[in-house]
Amino acid sequence: MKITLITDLTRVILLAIASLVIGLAVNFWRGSPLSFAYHSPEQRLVSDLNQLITAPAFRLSDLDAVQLDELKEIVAQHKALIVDARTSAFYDSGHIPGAVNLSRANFARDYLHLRSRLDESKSSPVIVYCSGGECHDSRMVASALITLGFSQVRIFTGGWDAWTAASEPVEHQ
Amino acid sequence: MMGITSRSSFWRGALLLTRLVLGAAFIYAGWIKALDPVGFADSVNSFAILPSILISPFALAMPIFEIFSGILILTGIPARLGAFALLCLTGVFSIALVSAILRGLSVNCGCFGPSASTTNPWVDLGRDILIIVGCAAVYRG
Repeated sequence: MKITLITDLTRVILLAIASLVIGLAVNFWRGSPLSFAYHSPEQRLVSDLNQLITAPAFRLSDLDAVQLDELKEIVAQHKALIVDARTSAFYDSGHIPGAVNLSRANFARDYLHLRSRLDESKSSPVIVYCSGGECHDSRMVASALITLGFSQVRIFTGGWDAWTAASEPVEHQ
Repeated sequence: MMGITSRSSFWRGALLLTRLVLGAAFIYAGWIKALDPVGFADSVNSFAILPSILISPFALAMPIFEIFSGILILTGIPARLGAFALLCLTGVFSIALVSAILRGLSVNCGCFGPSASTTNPWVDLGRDILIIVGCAAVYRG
C-alpha cells in the first residue's frame, strides 16, 4: 500500500513536470505570451498609464476648447468634472473650485487615486486645464483620458492664468 | 449472490459515470484556463500564497496538468493515476481556499476560467469536497 502510494505520487510529480514543460512550450509559441515575471493587474495598469501619458498628445485643433465665460457657468452649475493637470504643489496652493488633481507628472498615481470618481465621468463632460498659455500638461492629460475611453473631454486653454486674471473664485486644499 | 452482483454492477456504473463527469469537467476547466493564461495568473495571485516568481510557471503548468489528468481519468488508461493526480490537485486547492477564507481574502477561484468577479469560497469548497470524494472512489476502484 505504502509502495503503491509512493509510486503514484512519483508519477503525479512526473506528470506535473511534463505539464510545466508543455505549458512553457505552448506559451513560447503563443501570440501574446504570459510574461515569466508576473505583474499584478494594478502593476500592469500603472505601466499602461505611464506609457499613455508619455505618448504624443493630440493636436490642440483636434481637441474641443472651452472659453472662460462658458467655464464659469459650468463651474457654477457643476456641469462637468474639472481636472487640474498641474503638479500637486500648484494644485494645493489654489485651483478652480471643485477641480480634482490629475497631474501629468504623476498621472498613474493620481489616476488610481481618483479611479472611482473618474470612472463615473467616462461619458460625462470633463474639462482639463493647466497653467495656461503654452502649457502642454492639459493636452497630454486630455489625450490620455480620450484614449482611456472618456468621450466628452475638453480643454480650458486659458488655464489657471486666465482664471485668476479674471478674479474668479479659488479653492485651496 | 444475485444481490452482490447487481450491487457490484451498480458500483461499476457509478464509478464510470464519476470518471466521465470528472474527466470532462477537468478537460474543459484546463482548456478554458489555457486560453487565458494572464487571467488565470491573476486568479492565482488573488490567493496571495505563491511568490510572484512562481505565479506564471504555475499558471502555465496547471491547465495542462488538468487536461492530462482529465484525459487519464476519462479514458481509463490508467484511471487510477488520473484520479490520484486530481485528488492531489483538488486537495492542494482546498487547502489554499481554506487559507484564503481564514485570511478573509476575496478570491477568484478561476476554476472554470478567469472572471472579473470573485466567487463564493464556500461553494468552491463544497464542490472540491465532492470532487475529492469522487476521485478517492475512482482511485480505490
